[in-house]
Amino acid sequence: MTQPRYRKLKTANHLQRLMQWHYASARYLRMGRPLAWVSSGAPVEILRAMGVAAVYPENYSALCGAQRQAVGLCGAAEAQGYSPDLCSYARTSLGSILDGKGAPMHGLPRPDLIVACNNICGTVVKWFEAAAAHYQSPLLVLDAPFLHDGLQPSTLSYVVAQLEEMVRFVQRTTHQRLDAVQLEETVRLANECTELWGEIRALCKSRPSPLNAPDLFVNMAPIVVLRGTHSAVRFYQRLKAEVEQRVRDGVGAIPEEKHRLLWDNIAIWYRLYGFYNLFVDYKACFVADTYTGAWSQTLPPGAGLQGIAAAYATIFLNQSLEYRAALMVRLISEYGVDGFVMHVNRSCKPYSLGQYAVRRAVMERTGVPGLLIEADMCDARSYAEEAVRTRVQAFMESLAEA
Amino acid sequence: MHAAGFAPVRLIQTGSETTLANAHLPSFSCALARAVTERMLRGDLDFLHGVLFTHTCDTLQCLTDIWRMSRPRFRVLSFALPSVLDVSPRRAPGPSGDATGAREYMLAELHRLADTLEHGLGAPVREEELCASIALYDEQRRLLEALHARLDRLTAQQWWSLSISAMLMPVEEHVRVLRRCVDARGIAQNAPGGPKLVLAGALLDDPLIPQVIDELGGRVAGDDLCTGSRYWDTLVDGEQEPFAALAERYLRRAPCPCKHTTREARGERILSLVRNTGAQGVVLVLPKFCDPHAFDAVPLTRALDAADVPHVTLETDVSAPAGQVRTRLQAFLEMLQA
Amino acid sequence: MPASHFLGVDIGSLTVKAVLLDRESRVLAQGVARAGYGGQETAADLVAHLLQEQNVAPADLAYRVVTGYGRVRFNAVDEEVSEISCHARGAFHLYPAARTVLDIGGQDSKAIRLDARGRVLDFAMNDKCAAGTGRFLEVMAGALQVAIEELGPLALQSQHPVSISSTCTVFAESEAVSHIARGAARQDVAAGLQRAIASRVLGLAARVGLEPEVVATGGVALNAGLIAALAELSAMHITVPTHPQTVGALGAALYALRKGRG
Repeated sequence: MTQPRYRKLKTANHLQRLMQWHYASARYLRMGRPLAWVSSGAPVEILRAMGVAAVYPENYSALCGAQRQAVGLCGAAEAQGYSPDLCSYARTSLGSILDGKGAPMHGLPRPDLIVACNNICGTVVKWFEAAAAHYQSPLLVLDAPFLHDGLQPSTLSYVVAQLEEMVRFVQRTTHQRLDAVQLEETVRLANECTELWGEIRALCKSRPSPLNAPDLFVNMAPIVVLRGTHSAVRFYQRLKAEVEQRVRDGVGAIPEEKHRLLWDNIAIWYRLYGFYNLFVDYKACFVADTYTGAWSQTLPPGAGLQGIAAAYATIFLNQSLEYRAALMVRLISEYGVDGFVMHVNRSCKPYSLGQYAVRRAVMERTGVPGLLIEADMCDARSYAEEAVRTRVQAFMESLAEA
Repeated sequence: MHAAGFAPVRLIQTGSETTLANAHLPSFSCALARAVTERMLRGDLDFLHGVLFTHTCDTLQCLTDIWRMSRPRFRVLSFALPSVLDVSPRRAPGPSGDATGAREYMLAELHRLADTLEHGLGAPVREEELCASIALYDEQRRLLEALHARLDRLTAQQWWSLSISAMLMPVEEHVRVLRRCVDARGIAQNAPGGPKLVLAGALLDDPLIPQVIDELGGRVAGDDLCTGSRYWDTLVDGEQEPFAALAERYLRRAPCPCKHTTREARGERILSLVRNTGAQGVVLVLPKFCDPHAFDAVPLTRALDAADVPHVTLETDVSAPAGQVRTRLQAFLEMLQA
Repeated sequence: MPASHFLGVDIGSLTVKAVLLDRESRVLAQGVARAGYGGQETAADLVAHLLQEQNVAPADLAYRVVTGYGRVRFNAVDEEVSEISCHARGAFHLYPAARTVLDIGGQDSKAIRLDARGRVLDFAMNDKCAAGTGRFLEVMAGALQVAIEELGPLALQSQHPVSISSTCTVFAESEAVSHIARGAARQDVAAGLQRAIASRVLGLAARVGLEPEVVATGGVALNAGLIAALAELSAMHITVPTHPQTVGALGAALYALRKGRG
């Protein structure tokens, strides 16, 4: 019997239950806690420390994409006038708001407040403005200026001042208070979570790699939506144990590993397994990526709002292309990578527009070849099967020759 | 920049070739990004001492670094402006409600820019020269505003040339041209009859649209464009210390979709423009792949519909098929005249 | 004798059309011809042919209106009007209950909303990167090796249309070709294509609102498979005039009648 191209993790069931619980509790089990819609780069630690529950529309859209329900929802948004050229996470989410019945889990529960930070992109601000207008809910937008030349003191002060305002905003809208002890505990849990995830990813330096790209993307969810909670820590402890076991047993994520690849950009959610299986057929495993490592900064203990501001202002997507190229060069070296694949994601300009420049720089500095694949993270209408297959084939054939 | 001794010139699209740029930018980037990158790669911009990218949108953000990485000898500066200009969605636009710390941050960025100009390009910014530059640019703004009060005397193409040249000519020369236009008594009034239009949107750097408006007998009554009234909107407060005054003006300017402000602000501004000018319809000029404007188009068109103001959307791109622009504008004008 | 005939000409990218009316707005003659290069020459020939057929001299034409993509350089006219206004006017004349017109032409599609008096309330045209025009169907008919007129009936035979989801014509074609290469039945590919275009057109219509009575105009409305797909996906009845191609020229001629009658 041929080996399956994807080796399922034992913790996969645990993950599924955890995510189901997360969405169900947001709707049914809040026990009076206010609910915030939060962008992935927003400082959720402050919200949790103030007793506010959080859901992530971006994660919801990714889920819709993975369940292949996003196209219909995008259509609903487009019928309202949203351009099909806009981010497919935004269109999916806005579609689910406008057409709740057709959406998975009937969409997200209505927010009591909305918090967006533009450290990931400007789109999330406009998207959340639209959501806030629909629900007539208070919206706070945090401005984290882009770092072309590193973090300036004036930028840091600006972000800190806004975090202070964030605390006041949450207090005004929810009547909950910030407990300094709670904040410290939340930060500690977030750090523990981040460290565990970092260690798990680092285990992929082994040969063969115990995990492939789909594993990285699927298991990233708790660190995004449950960062700062006990359940996230417990999950990653279990995952780490299983991955360590694989390494001890010399078990790889794919049947035979000949090529080790690096992935850049968000996943192609509606082809999560099928797409990477194209590479498995060529004995190639994705041992590292630039996206799931976005939550890799630990907050200095006791640094309070200052530390949180510094961490969130300096996330990967808020840094210059030079920074990203350097990161990729480092990953290639540390993980023993022989080729890299960049998903030119129509929906994400901050991540994708600079890829041609970054690819050139990385190839020049490492001599490792890079492939560009044009698609979209969530909107399956922008995925051209034959075009993708041809490119992957050509790339893997030339890697095999090298 | 002017006070430091530079002649600032705005980079706009001047052609429809993007052969070289295609190797540096994927297809889903806006025409402005591709066209100016093309100019840079061809060497057409080598006469510049440098380029300043101000942070407005995700595309410009990427472009800054793309330029730095593709032409390391080309001086690329960046200036990150605050992008939150009102905090509560329910507050009316006005002199309060910016992001906490935005004023201090803006001030710090202005000083940082002045420092870079001095130590990086050897061009110090002295206070008296800064005040003089501010006065000169304010005069340009006043003249442009005065011109807008007399749009009935200009064709669409004349209005367009005078507006866009503000950003392309040395300010001293442009002010001289404007003075002559505003003082001139000899310009005849346009023959009445054609529908009056308000143009709203991003940049309008293609002469095609004003050309077609003139051809079809339409008239421009006002605008809310990046290359139009949003350029000259709001004077700098002469009373304050110049850096503080500049920061203040920036925080008070007419809202642009790249900034987070109240969702109604732009709709209200455009509707009052329509009312004050007696315009019969609004032409939205949206560049393809411009996310902030595409998002804003939804509440904006709804506000126009609620106020019974007819509108048409023209999507511009590197090379827009002229036929489509003409058909849409023509059908719109026919609709207004019916 | 006063000039008592009114001419409407529609110069499209694939075909040119002309309609000749009398003072009582009766259609005396109408014709369609392949445009060839530029279309103006063919249009002139078509007009000459119709006039000859009806024994009408050019001097008898009281007013002439041209519309369509090629209208800008056609000189033998008194006025040019946009296709949107013309399709609206033509459809409303034929069907006074028409409130939405879907015009699927050679190189673009339009959705037009009318009020109870036949005036244009709103319209939407396809944006870049949105598959769904006559030109595309011609190319696909070639790939399926059927005549364009057979495409519709062929699609109607399908029980299992293939899925074609790309919004870009180039990739949609590539999808169709892949299905063919994998042995999909001709009728299923044809049906998949019709559904893709129908879905694109309905997306356009959603921007202006789909209000009955819905009338389909333009040459592509002759494609029964496409009309069936539109009806199915919208769950609405789609009215197709006997001569959908000439509705634009009819509208132009009606404009000519209104202007020329004085």
